[in-house]
Amino acid sequence: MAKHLLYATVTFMKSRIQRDYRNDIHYVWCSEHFDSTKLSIYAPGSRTPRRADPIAVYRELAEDVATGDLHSAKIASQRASLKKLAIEWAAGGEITKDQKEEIVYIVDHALIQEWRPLLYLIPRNRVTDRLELVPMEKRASVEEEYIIRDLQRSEFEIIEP
Amino acid sequence: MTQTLKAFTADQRALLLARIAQRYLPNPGIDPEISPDDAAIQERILEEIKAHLRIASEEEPDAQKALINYLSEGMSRAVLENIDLKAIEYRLGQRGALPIRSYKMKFDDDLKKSGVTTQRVQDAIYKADQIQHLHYSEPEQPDKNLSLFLKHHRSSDHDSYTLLVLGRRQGSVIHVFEAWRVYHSEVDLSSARTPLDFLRLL
Repeated sequence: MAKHLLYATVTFMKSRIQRDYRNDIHYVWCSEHFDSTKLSIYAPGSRTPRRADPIAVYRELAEDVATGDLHSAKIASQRASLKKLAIEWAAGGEITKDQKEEIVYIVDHALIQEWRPLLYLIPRNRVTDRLELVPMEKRASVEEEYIIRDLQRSEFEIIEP
Repeated sequence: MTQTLKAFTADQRALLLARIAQRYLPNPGIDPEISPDDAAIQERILEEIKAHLRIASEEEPDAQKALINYLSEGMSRAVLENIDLKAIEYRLGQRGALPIRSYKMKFDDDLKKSGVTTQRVQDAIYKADQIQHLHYSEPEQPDKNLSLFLKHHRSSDHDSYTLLVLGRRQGSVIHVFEAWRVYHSEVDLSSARTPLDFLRLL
């Protein structure tokens, strides 16, 4: 049975970039399981690997931020990802050249606290029609993962425990 | 910069590096198809980068991390090539979009009259409970680019107060000109949700 909530772990920086440069429309990769380790081994979602589990991603980022790990692989990946997106958005005419430069500047000059994780809680009934199942070969495991390309700010809650 | 990349403009270099970076980033499978020609160029650049980084195999420990960092720095160089970084900083600063620690603070001489020490004011700014940057786009109203900071000081007796600090932003500089201790026993602040609400109640 489909769960009522979807979960996504997003860095504060990514959330901020989408708020400020994407009209507060958020692209998220989400899961219907928050913590697969708490599931029965026979339950759907129980085989979600650590790198796709929202709580595991949250904990890894939170620890890297708390310890001030400037060489965090996770943060390096996020940094590259946001710059990549800015370049592609500009190439596609979705943002201006100035905005692309600003995003790259912001990402390169961000304080480590700006990479702290946020949890998005997304009531499924608000996005059912726009949920895209990630193709099997692109998932971290056989467990289901979803993309929402145009999540509106009114469609989710952010918690920062 | 690799030999192959040198043949491209800064914008093209940025896009090529972005496409290569995609291989090492979480990929939900919704990226545009890459033409065979582009794929061949990307492959050549990637081989040059690996040679530069002395990476024989991506399975080596930290190989992917090194590649991501190289690509990330390459994207920055391509995007910010010949760009005045101070101008970007100014724009962001003016909009209140810089991290608060990236702003330079200048304290107005009249601030001393408030009876609040500079140390307390700095504490209210850098460890603020709430920050609000007001932004006016009209160039003739630069004085309205106000930044407001709130720092709550709670005490078990009747001396709990909130320190409200006001500054004017000019690029990446905040000119701090006012600081008020607002005692909770004197002003009912229960309806205030934002620093601006606080200011309106005074």
